[in-house]
Amino acid sequence: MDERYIAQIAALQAGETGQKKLSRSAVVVIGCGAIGTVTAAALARAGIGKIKLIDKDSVEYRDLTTHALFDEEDVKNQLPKAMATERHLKTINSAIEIQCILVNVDPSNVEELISNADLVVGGLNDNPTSFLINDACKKHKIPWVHGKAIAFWGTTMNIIPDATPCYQCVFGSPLTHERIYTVENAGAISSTSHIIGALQFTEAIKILTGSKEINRDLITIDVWKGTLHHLKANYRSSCLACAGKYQYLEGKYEAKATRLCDGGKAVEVLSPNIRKISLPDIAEKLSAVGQVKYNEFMLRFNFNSYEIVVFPDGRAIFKNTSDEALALKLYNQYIGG
Amino acid sequence: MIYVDNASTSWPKPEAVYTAMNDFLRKNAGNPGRGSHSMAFAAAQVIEETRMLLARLFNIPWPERIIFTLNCTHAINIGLKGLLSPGDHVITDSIGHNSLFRPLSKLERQGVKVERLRPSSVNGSISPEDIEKAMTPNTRLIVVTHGSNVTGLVQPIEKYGEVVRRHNITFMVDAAQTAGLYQIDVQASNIDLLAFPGHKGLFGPPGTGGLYISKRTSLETLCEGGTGSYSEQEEQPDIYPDKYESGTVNSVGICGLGAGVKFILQQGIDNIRTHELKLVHQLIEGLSRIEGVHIHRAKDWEEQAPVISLTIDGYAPSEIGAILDQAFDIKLRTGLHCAPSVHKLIGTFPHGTVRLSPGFFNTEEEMNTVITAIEKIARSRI
Repeated sequence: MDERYIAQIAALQAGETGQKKLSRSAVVVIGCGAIGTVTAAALARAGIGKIKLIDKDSVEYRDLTTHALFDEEDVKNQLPKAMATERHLKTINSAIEIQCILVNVDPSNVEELISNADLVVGGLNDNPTSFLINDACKKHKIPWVHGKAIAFWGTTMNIIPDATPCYQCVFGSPLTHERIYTVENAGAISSTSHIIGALQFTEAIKILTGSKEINRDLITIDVWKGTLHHLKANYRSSCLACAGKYQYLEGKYEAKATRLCDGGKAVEVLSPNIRKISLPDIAEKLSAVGQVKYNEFMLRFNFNSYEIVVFPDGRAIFKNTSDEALALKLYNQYIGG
Repeated sequence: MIYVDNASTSWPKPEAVYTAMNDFLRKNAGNPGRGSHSMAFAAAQVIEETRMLLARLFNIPWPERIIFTLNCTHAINIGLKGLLSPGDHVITDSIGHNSLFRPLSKLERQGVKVERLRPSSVNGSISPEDIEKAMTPNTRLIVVTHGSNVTGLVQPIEKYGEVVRRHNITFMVDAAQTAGLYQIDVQASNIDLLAFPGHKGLFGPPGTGGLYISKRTSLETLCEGGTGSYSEQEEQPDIYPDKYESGTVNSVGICGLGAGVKFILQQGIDNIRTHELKLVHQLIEGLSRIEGVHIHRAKDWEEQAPVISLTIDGYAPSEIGAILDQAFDIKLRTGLHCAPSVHKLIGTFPHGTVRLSPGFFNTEEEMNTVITAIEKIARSRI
């Protein structure tokens, strides 16, 4: 075995066998930002056989405070983050295969990007994309490690298909979290992403070497307070991904909810993914839940205190609420789902 | 596709507007008034030409007293906030847009007293007599909406102007729905402040508008900065229009606005209005025959701008808008149209109305299609 990995082999429970597994592994890193660069560099040092780096953005000066690996030359050369990461990783370990792909992950490309991967690492603060990765990894039964870092707060968790609760089980829907903190409103410092990246890397090699001690919790850290907590990740009975329904993969998360310029309370949901729906079919489905009436132009559905009006192009108006997240949830539950 | 949302913004624009903006941005888009090179001169010339055209349109004797703004809302804000101080009394109507009511509400919190007159006459306008009765020794400003953006009611600004002038009070007009459609003569109507959008009846692009400030009126500035003139002075120069036009103006937008005004002057403002009113008349006739359709409009045909609202029994306005868009490809606006108080007057608060505002480029055939579509919807009520 290559001399360079002696110390790591000594530390790994699986020893040389484990190192061989790492050298035969293929890992896809989605997001080469503050977290992804830390994780990717550690994976390269550890001798992962194939690393695929995915990111479309370019390196900017403001990234230098948090992103490991990058320097001022990268900014001057206007290098895309994935390409800059590839260049630096090659100077760290020239023996492994590294590939960069400059795209934004979306429903049309995610399955191809992760195909043949043994593990996916997500270092992104973008909620909808995490839900998308979750769907794709669940569908193709690929384990993935989530990581997020905003200001002093970071989270990571492992999602092992058929063995642990998934990202959607734990986080529900993109909108329930969207309005809390983002890097834009709360900022970022490097220690948070370094720790999350380090934890992600550790979990990655545990998963790849077949360790029985992989983490099954949601780990949260606060670097300012110096705390790390394990929160139990629970299965969610209503989780669509666990039921084999991949709504984000089908692009349905792109449905948009907007409060109407209507003095009453109402929210309109537009879904670009539904072009034509059959009102009689929906009526049949919904009549079990509430009162339904329809004509050739629209369908009116009353249940509890809600009134939902559905149109044949898939748009819907939710009355008696100004809560956009709730409208989207109801939409996915009753119309788009 | 049928576009009947011209009260929001006019579309399409005359071909000359597209061409002028394209040419300008390619050839003449230097920074107007900032430099002694030919491109800066050319840009300044286009802007001054637009000012001249607007002066012709509104019978303004001093073009430099027209200042360019981002839109009509911006113009109204400059007028109200530049003029009023705590303790001042303001009289306004109840058919206005939030662009007028919201800045007034803020000023009210700062100590300005605002009196909102309810329509007194049968036709829905406020009466000149009521304005006169509401005046106090502290009345500083009368500000009225020329045309309602919900019902299309046009108020008699020239009559208000007479009253206001007798009392030597500042008179401001919000011409959001009427500029480019009605002959507005600032001298004949004694208008001191005329706020107008560039992107509606004047056929300019979004991001354009203006405010005329009469010689009787002086406004505090809301924004100071570079004007390209008197640069050695620390204070904002006290000359028009520089005083109120700090920073680089929207030259390409103003160029498009100029082309729009030229189009109006060529076509003739009366011809444009006549065409649009003919379409509105056709809509009113056709729609009022349909059972379950209620039209909200000016009571008197003479006071009707080419904007009307409607409601249909059994449907919320937003539902009708969605159906017209997707099943018939008809584009219009629904809801409150940013003018909540007029809906309280006509009884359509809080859900609002469906608004139809045909433009110069709509045809009678299109209006028939709209009527047929609304008839189908009204008949198939659930």
